[in-house]
Amino acid sequence: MAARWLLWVDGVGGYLMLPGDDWTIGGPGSNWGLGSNWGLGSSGVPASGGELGRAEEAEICVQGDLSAREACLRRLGGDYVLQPFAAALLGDRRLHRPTPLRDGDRITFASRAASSRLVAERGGAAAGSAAAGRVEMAGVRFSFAKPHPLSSSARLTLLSRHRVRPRCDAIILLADTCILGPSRTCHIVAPAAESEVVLLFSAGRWWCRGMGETNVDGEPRQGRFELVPGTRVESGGIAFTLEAV
Amino acid sequence: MTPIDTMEAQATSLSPSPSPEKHRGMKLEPHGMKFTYASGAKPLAGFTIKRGIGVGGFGEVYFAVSDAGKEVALKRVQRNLNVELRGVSHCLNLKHPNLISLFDVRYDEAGQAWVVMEYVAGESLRSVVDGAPGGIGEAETRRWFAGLAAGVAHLHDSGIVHRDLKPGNLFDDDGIVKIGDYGLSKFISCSRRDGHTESVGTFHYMAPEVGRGNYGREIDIYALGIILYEMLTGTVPFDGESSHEIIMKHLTANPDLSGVAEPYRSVIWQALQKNPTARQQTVQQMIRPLGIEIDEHGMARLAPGFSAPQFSAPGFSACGAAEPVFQGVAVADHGRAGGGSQASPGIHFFSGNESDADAPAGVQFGEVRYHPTAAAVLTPEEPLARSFRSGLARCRQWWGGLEAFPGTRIILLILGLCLFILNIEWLLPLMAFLAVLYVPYYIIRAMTLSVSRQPSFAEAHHVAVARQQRPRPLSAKQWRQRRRGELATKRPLVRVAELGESLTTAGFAAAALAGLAFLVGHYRGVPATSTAVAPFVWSAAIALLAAVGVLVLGKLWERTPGGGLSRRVVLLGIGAAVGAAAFVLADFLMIPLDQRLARDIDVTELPSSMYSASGVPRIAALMAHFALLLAGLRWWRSADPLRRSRFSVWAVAVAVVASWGLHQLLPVPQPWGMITAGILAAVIQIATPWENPRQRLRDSDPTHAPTV
Repeated sequence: MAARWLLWVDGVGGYLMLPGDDWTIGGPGSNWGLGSNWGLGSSGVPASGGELGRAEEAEICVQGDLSAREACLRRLGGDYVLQPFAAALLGDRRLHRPTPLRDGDRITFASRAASSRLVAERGGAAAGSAAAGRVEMAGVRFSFAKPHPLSSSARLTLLSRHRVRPRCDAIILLADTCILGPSRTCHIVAPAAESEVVLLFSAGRWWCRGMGETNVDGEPRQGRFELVPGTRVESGGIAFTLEAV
Repeated sequence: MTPIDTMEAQATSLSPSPSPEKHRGMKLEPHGMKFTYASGAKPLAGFTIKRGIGVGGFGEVYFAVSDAGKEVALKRVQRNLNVELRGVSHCLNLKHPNLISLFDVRYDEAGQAWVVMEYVAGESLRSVVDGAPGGIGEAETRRWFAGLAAGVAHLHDSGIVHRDLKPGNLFDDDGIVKIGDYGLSKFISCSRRDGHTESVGTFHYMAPEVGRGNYGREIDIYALGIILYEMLTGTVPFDGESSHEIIMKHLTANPDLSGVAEPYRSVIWQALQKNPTARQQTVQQMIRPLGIEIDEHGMARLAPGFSAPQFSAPGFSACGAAEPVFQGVAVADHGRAGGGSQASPGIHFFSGNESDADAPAGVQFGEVRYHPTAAAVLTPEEPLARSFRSGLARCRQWWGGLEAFPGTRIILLILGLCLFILNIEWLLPLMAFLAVLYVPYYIIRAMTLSVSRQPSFAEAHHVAVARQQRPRPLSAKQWRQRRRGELATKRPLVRVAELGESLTTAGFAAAALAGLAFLVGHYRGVPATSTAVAPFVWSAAIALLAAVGVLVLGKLWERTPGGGLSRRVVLLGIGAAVGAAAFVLADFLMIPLDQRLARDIDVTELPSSMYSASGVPRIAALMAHFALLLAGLRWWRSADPLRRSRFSVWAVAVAVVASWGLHQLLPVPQPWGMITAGILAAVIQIATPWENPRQRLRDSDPTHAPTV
């Protein structure tokens, strides 16, 4: 499993940063409760992939009634393509083949119970909208956003009453950069911020550039600097800490 | 300390000079706020801080995870509250789904108190309201308010006053409303007594008696009222540039509830009473009119039978008599058109038609389908007349209010009458002049409106279909309404052609009637010289002129029934113009205007601006006479194609008598004045086409093809 990070932004939320261009979405593995402490290591030390059950777990793991591999999300060029392995809806449309996602799309993954019902009813005439409505009720719902025109990073926000492991407010699918700032086009919107902060992930290391006055653990920084997990960055009214999980 | 000072001290924010939005904002944003602890810090044994959530009045709030993985919110209470903490144990153990659970109060190594509580990820009502400037809508308001009320009721039930209810303290935890900060406000009230004033953060929700320091659960009721108002309207009822201004408004101002519908309006009104005893004494009392109940388990329930109130849209009340029809249409639209109640009438009718398909069984939409009356009645009232009418109504209200002072009315009445009589010389011509100005305005407006009221093909088809489906004979009233609607949909060209016909008829009729009058009234033995004929020509000409005015207006007025005031004003102007023309014509025909001015009042009492010393009428006299003659009677009735009978002798008699009556006040040469009035009344009726009400029996026959 690829490395993951949590970005804790004061007053805004916690974000799961997932670099790469290929992610699986699924429920917890059959034995997720045995060895894992939900990725929130008490010491802040990243939970290693060697733990029991972790290897099978999807990169985007929802604590919901989903199979371990519910769907696969790929980035091709600047586009995101969702390939469902089980019942999935885009808006209120059933997905059967890989489908590109657009900014603002809503994705619903049917729970296992709902999708089995769906299969059972497929032969009948009632398989249409009524079943879709029920799936919508029971499913795990995400909204997909690709807010910044110049960055191909995207954001997945959980809409339904479920939790992502580790617990976060949204998932950043990181292509290269992640922008924090006050405007709607930022990946992480901090309404009270005065200026933007750009995070860059490259070759396993994080870089940061603050557009305003920037301090790292209280010491001023200029231009681009390496972002070390565990340090506290304050820039233009945004304060955040990156945590490796 | 004055109450204001105390209140301000109570509400002193962390920042030394609080700006208005800071009051509102509850400062949950990290803007300008530095969190003491960074992510990963463990100031309290057993918990790892992940991020700061916000800075409230009591200190910083963090999201933290326990060693076992439990997510909590940690509130760092900045002041040492050892003494008070003993008293809050019952707060700690309150259990209610609408209250944020307090797990524990712990102390770190430095002896600082931390409140461990439930973490709620959802957004606060503050940010929800900020995201919806016009209010969050009734359904959401009810959802929030039900949960809020249940939580507060539980607090009150446990003997606790929240003291700091505000949107920033309310959270939406996936559909469940959670109230926060209740335990801490207890701390605050205690520390206040010790003189350690602590920030409460906002004045907008603070009841007036808070400053006096003697308060109970009524301050929560007050805050609930403010929050309810804010959810519905998007703004707080008492706002100001400074904290002082806001507090002054709490103490003195009445909330403006004009934008709030019932039953919310009366609930908020009572909750915002300045006198705590005048407010609702319990939360239950407050929510009952809203259709919310709290069951025996302390949970809020929205009463099933509660129907959402009809929000009154502006413009409805202006329709006066049209209201029943309009409401019917609005009901047919309900749920479909939503806020489209101001749309043009045509749209209403068609959406009414669409509603047929999904109309619930037993609901009759037939009557609210396209109905000619509705079209006719919905023509908006002329704005000047409307403002005049509303002014009049206000005066009447004021007049009615004077009842309390006996005698005042009589004195005012006499005073007003004296002033009017003393100034009649210039008042009457001024009024006539204004009326003359009003005439072209009115005609142009009416004509442009008539163009906009042209029916579409679909509408005409709809009328045809509606007619064909009519099963039973119409009452005379219904028939008139329907014909009226059809008159309203006449094309302008048709209207002009009809008018031309009427005017031609009027010309001949006037000439014939004048001839008849000459035959009857000419004194035998006197040769029929031009001097003898001239007054009859004069009468006929005046009558014709006035008839032309009334007929043209009647053509415009045939689209709608009734509507007295503005019509009278227009007729006043027409009459004044006719009077002026009469004077000029008399001059031209060399008719001696001082002839036969005999009347019962002495000549010397005549107003000098209208009559010369010898009693000869000036132009103003004729203008006033004919203005009053035309404005005094309902001439539009005679010019209405839907009048009761083809020719009413009664109408002619009334016109003659009215003219005679006016002659007593403003004399004109007689009998020409009365002859003019009689000819006018007759000519109008002769020239205006008439639709026989018996037609309705034929119209009701479905086999009879409708002609639209």
